[in-house]
Amino acid sequence: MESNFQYPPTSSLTIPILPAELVTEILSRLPVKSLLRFKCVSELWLALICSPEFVKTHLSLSANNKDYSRHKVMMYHVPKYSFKDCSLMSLFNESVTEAFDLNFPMKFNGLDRNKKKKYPVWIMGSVNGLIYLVNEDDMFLWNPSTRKYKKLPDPRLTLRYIFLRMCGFGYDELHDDYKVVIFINNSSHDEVKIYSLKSDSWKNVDACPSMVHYVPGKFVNGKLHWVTFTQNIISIDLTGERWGEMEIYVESLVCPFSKTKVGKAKITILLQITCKSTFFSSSVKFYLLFQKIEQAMHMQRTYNS
Amino acid sequence: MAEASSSITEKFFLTLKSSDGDEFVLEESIAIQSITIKNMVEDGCSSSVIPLSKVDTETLIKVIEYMKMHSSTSSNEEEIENFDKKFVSNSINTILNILEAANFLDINNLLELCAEAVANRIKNKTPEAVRKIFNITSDFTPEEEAEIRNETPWAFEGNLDHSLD
Repeated sequence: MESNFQYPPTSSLTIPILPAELVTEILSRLPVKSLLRFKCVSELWLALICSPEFVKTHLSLSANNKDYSRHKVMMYHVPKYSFKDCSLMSLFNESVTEAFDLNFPMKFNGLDRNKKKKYPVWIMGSVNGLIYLVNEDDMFLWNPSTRKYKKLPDPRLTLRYIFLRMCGFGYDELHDDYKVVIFINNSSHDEVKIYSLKSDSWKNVDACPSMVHYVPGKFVNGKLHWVTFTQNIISIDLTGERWGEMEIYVESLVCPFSKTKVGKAKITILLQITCKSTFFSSSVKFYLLFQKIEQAMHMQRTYNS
Repeated sequence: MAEASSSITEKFFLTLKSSDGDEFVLEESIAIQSITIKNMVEDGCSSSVIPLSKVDTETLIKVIEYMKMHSSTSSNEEEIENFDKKFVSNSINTILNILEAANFLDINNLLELCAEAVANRIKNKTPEAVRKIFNITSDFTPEEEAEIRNETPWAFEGNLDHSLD
């Protein structure tokens, strides 16, 4: 249909060719889907869109967008084994939030739905729009905006059982590299490996000095953080790849994805920590947000059926 | 107090000349939102007419309108917001001209406003419409173009906009 569309041969437009710097100014404000479409406009546009400098500019403009209009919230819809997303703004500003289905890698990877796995995939972390996904056999980095994904090589851990693994995903700004940390940390085993996307390989690092709760690491300020059994917070710096401790005492920790009730609303908690610090004091906002996410998912469910 | 001091302060005026030869007289305090003009004033090059050889009359009128609104101390945030909204409803061609002028004159917030506006207008368009708007002739062979399209066919699906404005 599109390719048959013909414009009149004469055009009244008299725009001279725009300099590349101004084309970049415009392109850096476009959604990813438009950019993928405009790669075929011309060789110059293709080169601009694919250049690493442009990718950085585009990310920084989208991430620092003042009204969060480029931010999305993603959720995993277990009954249908599907991912959905909705805009962050709509959760705050609109009475009804619409959630959309996302294509995800395991679909392309030929996941056999008849195997009736209860939870075929988990979201273990996200940074700069990249998602770290894990299923029982493999680990993936996934960019939902471009729909590209990468299966990570086998880390060759001595203990293969996935449920014993701690993990986290973050960004090493100094080396411009995305890193996954996985470790086994119990009384009999102590093994830590870091994957670097740039080198596409795993390497061993120092063992984790304390036992931690099984919650994916939270990436803040260049470090991945976990809560230890002694209710402290321990972190690994993704640039230096060294462990450190935070002077903070965690009073309570609620397991992620547990269900609770606030008033009449059923809520799924992603992570709720109460600390003797103002650092994590926004649990009320989390409640409201997740209540709306539940609503969005519920709506989609009724809409689909 | 404020009134008294502003009436004492002497107002300086600059004359800007468009590429079509039309002259516009503008208060210096308004005109120096353009870093290019500000630098000329500081270098002492503004005593006579400032020639803006890259900006035509139609575009210069729009740019002056914008600078007046954005420098005026009497216009409040809401007024400015409404002005900007109306400003970017100009034809895409006009906005592209203003974008080039904002770049030449070095008026950063005007450049950002125009870039954002153009992005909003073209985001759902077809590559063919974008080529027409930007006066670009494709330098890909049909095979090369097909290859790029096949990398992400889903980006070409949906209700795309063929219009040129």
